Amino acid sequence: MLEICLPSNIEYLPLVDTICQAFCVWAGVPSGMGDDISMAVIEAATNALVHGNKCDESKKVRAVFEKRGCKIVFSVTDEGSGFDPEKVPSPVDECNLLKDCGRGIYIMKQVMDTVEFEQAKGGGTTIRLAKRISQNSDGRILCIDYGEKRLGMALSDELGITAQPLGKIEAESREVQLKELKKVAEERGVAEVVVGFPLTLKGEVSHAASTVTAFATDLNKHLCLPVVTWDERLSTKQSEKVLIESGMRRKKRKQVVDSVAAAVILQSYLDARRNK
Amino acid sequence: MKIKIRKTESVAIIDLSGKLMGGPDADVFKETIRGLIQEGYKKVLVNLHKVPWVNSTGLGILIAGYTTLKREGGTLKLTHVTDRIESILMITKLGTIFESFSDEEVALKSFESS
Repeated sequence: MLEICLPSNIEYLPLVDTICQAFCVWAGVPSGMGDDISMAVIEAATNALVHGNKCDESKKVRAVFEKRGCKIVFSVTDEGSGFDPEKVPSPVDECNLLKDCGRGIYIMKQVMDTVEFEQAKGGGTTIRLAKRISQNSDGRILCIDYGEKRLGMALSDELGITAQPLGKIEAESREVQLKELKKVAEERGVAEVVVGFPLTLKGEVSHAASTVTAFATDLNKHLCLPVVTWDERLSTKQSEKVLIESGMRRKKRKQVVDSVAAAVILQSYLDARRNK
Repeated sequence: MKIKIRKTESVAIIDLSGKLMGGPDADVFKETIRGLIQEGYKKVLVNLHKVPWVNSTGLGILIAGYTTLKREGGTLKLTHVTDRIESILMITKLGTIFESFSDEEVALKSFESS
């Protein structure tokens, strides 16, 4: 992670460009993509300096550059009083094309995969920009064993060989589930998500399947990552068996069975993928 | 941003160099355009050969110049646009507003018909 702190003066923008370009080279961004990414980061910095901090040099702009798995993420934070990004009209509408401002957010959205705005309670806005820089699955794979109240999670290593249990999320609200999963995906450098798909023992689609399909679709939209479903038959029973064999007591088994089930599903997915 | 001005009989050529990023540069550019209009130059060619990139506020400077000249019945065109500037013009659809040329002679000739 690289962090820089700038006084609110546009004279520093070329420095942001230079640092961003160097970061892109370091992070292995494909050649040709660095200029566009830098264009978006310069816009985030311009927005923070000019609109957020109103060019008041006593206020600072913080920029954080991170590589997370196969994504790069930039966060730019100002000390201003905030704004509503939804209220900025589209600069490419015919009637706005000749306006001399209002293009920054549009440029960021065109160049990056995701653009998020976060207003802090005490003032200050963070713009977070993310871009996937590689299609190769060299990030980790997150597996979710879906339950309406609990999501068991497991994570692969970066090479996609082994699966490890990764705890669970206990929440009934879809919004909370997605928010928590996004946090996990960003923190762990997740490149792909596998969701356990409930088939009956005969291999037919079960009643729960439509709920899981809807969940997988939501996940794909919210995380901007590829989401695949994978046969989860027997995973919970198999993981109970694994835990009983390991001598774990019933109460403790109940706490970890969801994430172990996710690990069983993920290991089966990883093995099948390797043997393809 | 630095500005140098060359003039033909009917076209003023503004050679810009450095970064086009808004701030005080906006006023300098605006004054330059106003001065040219007062001298009777309403056809302006902006040479971006020595401008490596612009940001959205820099685009705002060019747009303001363009609209000022249009109001006076004139026009503003671009020449020697770098790849990075080409990209931002394309993304913002301003490529449809600014006529842009890679060759100064061709650019100057294009004013004859306008």
